[in-house]
Amino acid sequence: MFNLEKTDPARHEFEGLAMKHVNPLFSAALRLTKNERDAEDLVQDTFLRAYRFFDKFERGTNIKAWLFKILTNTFINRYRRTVKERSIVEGSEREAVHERFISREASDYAANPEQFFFDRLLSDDVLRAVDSLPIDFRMVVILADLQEFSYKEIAEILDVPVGTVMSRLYRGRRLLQKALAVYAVASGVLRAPVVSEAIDLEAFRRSRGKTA
Amino acid sequence: MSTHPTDVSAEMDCAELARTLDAFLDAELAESEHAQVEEHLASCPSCWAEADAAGRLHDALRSRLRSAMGAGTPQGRASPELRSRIHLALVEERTPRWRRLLTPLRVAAVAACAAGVLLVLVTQDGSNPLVDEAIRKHTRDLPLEVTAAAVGPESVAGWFAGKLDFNPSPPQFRGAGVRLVGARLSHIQDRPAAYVRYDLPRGHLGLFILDDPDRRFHEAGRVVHAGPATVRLINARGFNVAMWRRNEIVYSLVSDLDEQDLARLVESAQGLGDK
Repeated sequence: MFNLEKTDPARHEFEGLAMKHVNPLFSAALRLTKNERDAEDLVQDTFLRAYRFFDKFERGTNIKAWLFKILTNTFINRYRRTVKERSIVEGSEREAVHERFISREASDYAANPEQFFFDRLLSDDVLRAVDSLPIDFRMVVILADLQEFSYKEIAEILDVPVGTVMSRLYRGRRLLQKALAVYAVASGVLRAPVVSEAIDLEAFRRSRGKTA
Repeated sequence: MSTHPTDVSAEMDCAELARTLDAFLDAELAESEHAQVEEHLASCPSCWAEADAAGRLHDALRSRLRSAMGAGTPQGRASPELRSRIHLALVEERTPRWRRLLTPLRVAAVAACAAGVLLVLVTQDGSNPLVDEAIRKHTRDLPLEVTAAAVGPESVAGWFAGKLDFNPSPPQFRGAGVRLVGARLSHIQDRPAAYVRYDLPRGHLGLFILDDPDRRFHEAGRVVHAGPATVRLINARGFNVAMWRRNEIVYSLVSDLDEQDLARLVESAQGLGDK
């Protein structure tokens, strides 16, 4: 066999730096593509592209942010067209119901044990809630609240102004709280708001179908 | 956005605080801005209560996201297969073109070419991924993702629904003692494939099913006819492999049966051909 591995210091350096971030990249890819196979392809493409442009990477800067930038660009260029977007947080009627439920002031949450309903939600429901966010919001929430990138890093990754990051994050977090509440009500973790039409019928049926 | 009566002497008012609260909680404010917010909070109980609640919500959301898809969860962890796929892709990527031409397989093919007739044997037994890679994957014996014991043999094929872009309908084997064990997702080269494992009284069968609309996988081997289907048999690395095509789907059945038994098994199978 030819052993080429030892003759390749560039690849060693690249793998040493980049492979440390394969888990967060995969996690983000999975939330973008919503399926494991596409996510794995996306991560592999990301690594190949990053490797091809490795000479352009400024040593000493944040390689994780650089890899995430390549991941999102690759996704937008290649996969976004083929991934079907679905959203449970759209639809004006449901919106109105949730708005009433969530728009209570944060101080209400403080006075109420319901604020901890996140912990009682199934992880599957959390993932579904995240996946239900429109892609721009989903991306920003994942980068900020899961990967803990700074606003400035996110702005660079997504190539948008910091102000856009802040407004997307503000809106994305609130959409996510809403979506989580929908699943919490549907799975009985959270009491429905007093208004009688408040249960989201579709989410309710989904959750019933799941446990049946 | 909420506004509270400005009954405090701090420079920042309640409306401003509400606007900067997210950035404050995200630790994005400059030191002086941060100090201003803290100053306001110290003197405004209602903003303090709001910031406290928002802070707890902020932390709860982050920690729930971590526990649902952080590094400690299956959703947040790249599989060993993906890691090795990336590694191999990088090795291949880096290898200069002239070296890639000299991979052992091609060296063998070139040598065979020089030897004339041998080439046929090499391309038949050596370079077909439907044979080579299928055997390698089959012998690795990776854990199954769905088992007949758990879901019933009739539900195993249905498990692939939504996981592949094509419908992998495995044939029904009627040979004595063929027992469906289970299935997993696999791939041959970069093509996603269904893998179904069967037990025999002595030995195992591994069936790979993948779609090949542009006919990338060439056909080779000894031809036998099984009903309407044309099946090709190839011996490689001690395994007998049967391959056939049904419209755009190709099947590769890896077995440790001898050629005659494999031919008999394939002939007895239902659902091999187009009709």
